[in-house]
Amino acid sequence: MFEHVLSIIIFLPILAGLVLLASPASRTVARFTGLVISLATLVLSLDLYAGFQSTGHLEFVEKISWIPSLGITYFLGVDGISLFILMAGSVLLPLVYLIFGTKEKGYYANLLIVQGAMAGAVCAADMVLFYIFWEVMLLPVFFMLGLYGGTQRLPATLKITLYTIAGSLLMLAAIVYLGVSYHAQFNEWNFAMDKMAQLNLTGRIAALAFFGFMIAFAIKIPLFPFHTWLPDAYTEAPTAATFVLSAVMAKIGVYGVIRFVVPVFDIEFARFAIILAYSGVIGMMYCGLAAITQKDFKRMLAFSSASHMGVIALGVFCMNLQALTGSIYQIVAHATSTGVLFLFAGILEERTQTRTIEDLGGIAAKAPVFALFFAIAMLASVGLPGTSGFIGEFMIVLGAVKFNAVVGVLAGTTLIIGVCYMLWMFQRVFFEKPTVHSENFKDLTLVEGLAFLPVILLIIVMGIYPHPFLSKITPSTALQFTQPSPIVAQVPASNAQNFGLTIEQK
Amino acid sequence: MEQSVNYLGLIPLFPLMGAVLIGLLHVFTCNRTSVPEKIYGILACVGPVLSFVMALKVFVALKGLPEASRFLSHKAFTWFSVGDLHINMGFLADPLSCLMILFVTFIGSLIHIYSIGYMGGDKNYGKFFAYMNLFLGSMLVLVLGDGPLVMFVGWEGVGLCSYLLISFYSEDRANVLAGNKAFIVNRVGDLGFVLGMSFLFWAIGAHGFDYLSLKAHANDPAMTQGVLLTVCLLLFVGATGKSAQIPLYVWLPDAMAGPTPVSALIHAATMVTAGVYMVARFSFLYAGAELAGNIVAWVGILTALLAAIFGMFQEDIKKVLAYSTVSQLGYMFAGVGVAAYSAGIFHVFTHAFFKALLFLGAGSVIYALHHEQNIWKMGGLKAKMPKTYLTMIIGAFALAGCPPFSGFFSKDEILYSALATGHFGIWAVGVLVAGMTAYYTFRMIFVVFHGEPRDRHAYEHAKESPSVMTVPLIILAVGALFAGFLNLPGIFGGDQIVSHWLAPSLSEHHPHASVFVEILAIGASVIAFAIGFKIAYSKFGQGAPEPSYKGFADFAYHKFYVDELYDAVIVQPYKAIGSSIWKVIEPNVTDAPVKGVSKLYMVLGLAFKVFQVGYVRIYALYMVLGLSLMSLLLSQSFN
Amino acid sequence: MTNDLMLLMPLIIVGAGAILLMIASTYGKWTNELAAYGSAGVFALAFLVQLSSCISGNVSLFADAFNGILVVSNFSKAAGLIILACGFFTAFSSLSYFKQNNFCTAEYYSLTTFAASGMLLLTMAQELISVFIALEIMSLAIYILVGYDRKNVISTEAVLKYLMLGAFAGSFFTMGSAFVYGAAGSTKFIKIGQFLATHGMLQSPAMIGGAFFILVALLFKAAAFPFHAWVVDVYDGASVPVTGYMATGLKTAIFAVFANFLILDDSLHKGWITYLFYISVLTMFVGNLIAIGQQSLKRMLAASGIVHSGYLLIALVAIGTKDFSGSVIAFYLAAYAASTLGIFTALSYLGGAGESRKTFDDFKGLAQSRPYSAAAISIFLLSMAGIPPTAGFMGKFYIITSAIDAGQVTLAVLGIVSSIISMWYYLRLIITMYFHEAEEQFSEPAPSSLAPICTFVLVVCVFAMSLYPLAV
Repeated sequence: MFEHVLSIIIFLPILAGLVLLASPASRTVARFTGLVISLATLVLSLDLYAGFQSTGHLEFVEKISWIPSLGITYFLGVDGISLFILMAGSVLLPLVYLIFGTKEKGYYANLLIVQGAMAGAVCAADMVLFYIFWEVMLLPVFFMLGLYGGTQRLPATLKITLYTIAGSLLMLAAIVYLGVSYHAQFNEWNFAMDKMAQLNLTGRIAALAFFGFMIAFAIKIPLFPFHTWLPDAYTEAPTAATFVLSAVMAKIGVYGVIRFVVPVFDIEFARFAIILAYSGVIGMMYCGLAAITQKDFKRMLAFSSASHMGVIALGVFCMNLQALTGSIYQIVAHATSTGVLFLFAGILEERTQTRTIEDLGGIAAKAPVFALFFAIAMLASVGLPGTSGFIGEFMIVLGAVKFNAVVGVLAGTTLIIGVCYMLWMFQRVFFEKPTVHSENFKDLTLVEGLAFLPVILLIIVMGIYPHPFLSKITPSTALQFTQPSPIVAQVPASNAQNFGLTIEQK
Repeated sequence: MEQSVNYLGLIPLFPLMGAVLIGLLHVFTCNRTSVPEKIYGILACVGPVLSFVMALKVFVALKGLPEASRFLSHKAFTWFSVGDLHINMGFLADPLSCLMILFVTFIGSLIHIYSIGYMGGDKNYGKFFAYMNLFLGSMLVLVLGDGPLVMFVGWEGVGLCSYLLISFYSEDRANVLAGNKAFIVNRVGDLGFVLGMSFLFWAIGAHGFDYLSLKAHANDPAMTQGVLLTVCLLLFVGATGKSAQIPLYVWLPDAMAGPTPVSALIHAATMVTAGVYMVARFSFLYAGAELAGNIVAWVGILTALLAAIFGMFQEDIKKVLAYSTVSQLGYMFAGVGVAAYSAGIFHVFTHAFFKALLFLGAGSVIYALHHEQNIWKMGGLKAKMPKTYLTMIIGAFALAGCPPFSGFFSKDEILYSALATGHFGIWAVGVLVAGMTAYYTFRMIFVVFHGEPRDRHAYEHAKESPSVMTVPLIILAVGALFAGFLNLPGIFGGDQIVSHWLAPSLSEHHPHASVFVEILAIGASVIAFAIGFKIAYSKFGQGAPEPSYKGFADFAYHKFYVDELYDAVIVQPYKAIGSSIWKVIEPNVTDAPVKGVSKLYMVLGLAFKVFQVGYVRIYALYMVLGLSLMSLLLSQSFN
Repeated sequence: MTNDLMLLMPLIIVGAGAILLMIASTYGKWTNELAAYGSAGVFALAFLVQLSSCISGNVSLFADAFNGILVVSNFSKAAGLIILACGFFTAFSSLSYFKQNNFCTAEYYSLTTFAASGMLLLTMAQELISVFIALEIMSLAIYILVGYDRKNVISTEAVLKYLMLGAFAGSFFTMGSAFVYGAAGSTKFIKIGQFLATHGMLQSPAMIGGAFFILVALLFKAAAFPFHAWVVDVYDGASVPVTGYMATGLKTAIFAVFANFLILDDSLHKGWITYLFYISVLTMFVGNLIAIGQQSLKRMLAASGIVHSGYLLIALVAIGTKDFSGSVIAFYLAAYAASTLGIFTALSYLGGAGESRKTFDDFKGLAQSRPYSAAAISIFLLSMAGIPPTAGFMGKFYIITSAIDAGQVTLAVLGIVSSIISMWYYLRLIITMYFHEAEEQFSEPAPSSLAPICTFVLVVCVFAMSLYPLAV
């Protein structure tokens, strides 16, 4: 539709947000603007999606020289991997404006800024540009958390901010290192991501750079044991911020691993893949177990989200096509299920004025539509076949089994762990007898219902007919294994052999 | 070889559509206006009946084909395809799945009709039928789905419906807990299923992940004994979850918390037999893995024994039937375990009739006594509700395996195969269990219908159920009575129609044993039945007071405290780990480094304020010290 | 010749302007406002001239004019631009500052201008004696400015400290120059460079010692460890605009001459590189640790100034002597100057009468009543912390790139670590401004509308520099 559609998708919300912040607009105006802008972005993204050729390479490329002396360019583009994270953001964020109508101006403005920044981080094809957006997308969260968060917000704010900034500054060093070594090897300055795969990096510093990236992403995802900022942040943050964090921002960490670490640091990655995979699995189990004892359903969802992120990350570390594709798919599925669950949690909190599970009950009878939607999202998040959650989860487990039988079996336990805490929560909140808090719980209004309907339908469609979505992802993921990075291509084969061995031992 | 017919997809689609329709209707009206029950009732029965008609159509179509090529398939669309992984949303109708859908849709329809009466007046009438239709749809997907992954869709779908229907009366925490238990225990099994599928895929799945391709490559070199055994056992884990075998049988008795028609349809006739169907479906794998087969058989027969023991001491009429179901399922696994797949499936078939009949009969009794389920509160009801009594008697005879009722032939077939294939142990236990079955079945019948009423008041108000409930009973009774003749063994002059019908889709070779063995098997079963019946009659025939259990009886009455054991060994530790992670590990271990760093940070910050004393001489001192230090280094480095 | 004159014009303008302002201040009619506008005008004029000569792109060694003791390079021009801009903004911030604090006389502005002339000279000087003279011109003016509030004990104490320790440094410098002269037989950088090129540094102890003392003096002025201790007290004692001026203009001049001296010859640079390495690391970390504990905003900013000197030292370690453009240092100085000046300008009108607001807590809830000022301060802080998309990030990025490119990976990583540490005390102010409830209404109106405008202009600069990072 437009010449620079990506730039528009990125900067339209950011500018709108800044204007809102600078202007003395009322909250209604702010909300309306936010809604309009985010819908406009949605339209653009849908147009983008329709026009996406699924060649596997970057599409809708925009390349403008920025800092020629260092070969830094304003370089945007999407491929099958980034497209879906972009879409997740564009599709889901309008919901917030529709559902939460009574927030301050800054709430909506920051939301717009973070949307644009996340889109930028996903579309950026130049490392420096990526880093800039990567940092920028934290700031609105910082302000939303600090300004509109819960009672314990300040420690949570500091923790998430310092933790993530610490990680990302290390990544900055790694990025510079890549650029410099590219300059050293090819005698020209360049920070474009696609060029970096040609580097052959060896030695201790390369390993350090690998960890520079890995830690930054591990904190963002968050990967066990770097997850400790998550429960507080997710619980204290206002619903929209939690939603953004879990639905999109966490995914950008995974995206970073796929973009930087896998193609560039193939040797280190192949060497540490098994450790990373275990950290993913352990994180899944650890957070899943922690979730079952939570009294506060928002915190429980926070842990469940972390648990799922462990599985998604695992899919990347398994280094085979099915697992990788699975985690990309799961990224969207998780955004539409857990992300939406956070929104529902927000609605629950607003209507019952409590976050304690024990204070609730019997909502299913009071609000059948709400209960139905919630149940569908929940079933998707526990990976029931027929919902979007199953496809990705199955492919990840499938890939994990190939990568390493033990990891595969452990990864499979997510089927059980997830169900345990979810059902336990669902029972106490939606079944049983109503309590004082929930006895006059109002069902979703028409607007809310219509707002959620597309997402709920998406969950089901993506579960029953995922082929069209996957056919857009697969070319790019397939390309990851035909990159000029022989090691990654070899590793699955070798793992396949010792997979055979592990079988024989059984 | 196979031909494609597009109406296969419709069979599951009808009930699913019904489910969506009814569900939406209910959700959007339940809190405002109340839709008349008739509408729900009609809507609910349309789907199953149409599917049944379609199933007949399929049957006819298959019948028309030459025996070797009895396959109808329909590839609706590519479900997903990544690299070697190509999954079609495809449906396959072969003799096996055809038989299944025939009785599933038939019994399903009957139970829907029955429920119209039974559920009358319930405020969640619509919800109930939505779930029931959803269940039927999923079950049909499970049976018709071409390939393990499509089967898994239905597999989990029925699990979900089971959860929803068990916790149907959701105000009561116990019911919901039972539902959770069912879902979670099933999930444990599903984990096995998924892993089994994964291993299977990496071995031979690249050639296509539907049954025919898998069957074609079942003997590839990639399919080593190790892989084969792993796959078979993992899949069987799935089966134990769904079909309530040791060690995952614990959820089924609790599942009786749901409405009785649910127990009849899901937890007796159809869903729980999915595991047996699955093993039969993968007969081309199990046939190659002797060891796996034996494990299956032994797990099955031991489950049968254990459940029979529990069944003899239950006081809740539905619990008795529940354990009898577990026990019968054990038989079926014993059958498929000893590679007598057709026998196992045939027992599934007959069992569906008489168990559904018994449950619905029980339901009719419970309905008459206003939801009284304790048999020691009943008695002498045969006068009050003759139709129910007669039909249940038939069901009881079938269950107890008394010739010529259907249960006899199918059970005998299994025991005979076990004997003929040399599994004496399994056969012996099987015969023993047959006796116990007869005992606890008729214990129930006598206590409920014979003797004097134990609860006068309830007895007075008891009356025969409406015909919408009794007619299905009668139809099922006919089935329970004659279904057995469909597979009449040669010795009775029959020619095993069902076995021959199933032959194309099962890779089994019928054992050929001497007539003596056959006679022995039959004789043993008959004698076992007779003994069991005799004991039951002598103890309860004229009615008996409620016994007080002690010793072993008490132990069995409490189901050997298995539930308590699981709770202590699995559930509590699980919760303990969870809370310890949250309360102990997270703050003190995982988060400790972060906390430590920030603390150190602050401490250093305060510490360094000390150096800013503010005295100029001190600062001069710093300068001099630094200076001298540097010059020292200088002198070191430059000579 | 005219070209040379053009290149020298800014210095002339500033110098002459200083003298004129001094004379004018003797007249009663010459009010402080007029003086402020006057000095601002001088700076503006000089700035524009400098800018034009930058665009024209000529450089000159003044071989015949000054016998090569002054050199105008692109680097010195850039430094000059920064210094002049600092002077300009300082004039306005002072104007609004002295609306609330009344110890100002008209001479104040001439002194800032004198200091500026010294700084400009310092950026151009290529000869030790003239460096010393320039250093003293600058320092003397600054000494007076620091102690300008005579009645205030703290500031008089500050000036005492600064004066004494500064005297130390000055003596070191003269000593060093004497040694160097003894070794090289000349005080001109070119000659010294030739001597080093032929003999190398390690051959002559006199050269070693001389260079050592000169470095010490420069390190003192640059507030590097272990000569950093005075900074916190002096910055605290001086009045807000002066502190801002010192933190930016003075630092720029010092690092300019520092770089000019270091690049004389490879052997010199190599010889001191290990020292500079450790000094920069220690400077960064000590500065950070001092900053953490501070309650007063000015003291925190002073400490953070130390940290930034550390970053600049990284750049000095990383510079190549052959093709030295100084763009990295200049850019970093510009970015740092913009954000620091911005904060001090904001403080000059938010500080209240008699600098009543100086600690973090005094600024609680600023965002509710003064949203725009709070936003501006936050942006400056983020720029100092090096968060994109601000100029500070770009500066840091360049420094790290140059360091890693020069093979100083460890130094770069340590720099990163120190900026992680520094994150807390920058965020702390933002948190106090935004996330705490206001304890007082910052009700009094801005004394002069000029300072807020300057702040806004600086905000624009902070973003503009990051978006067009090659302006320098």
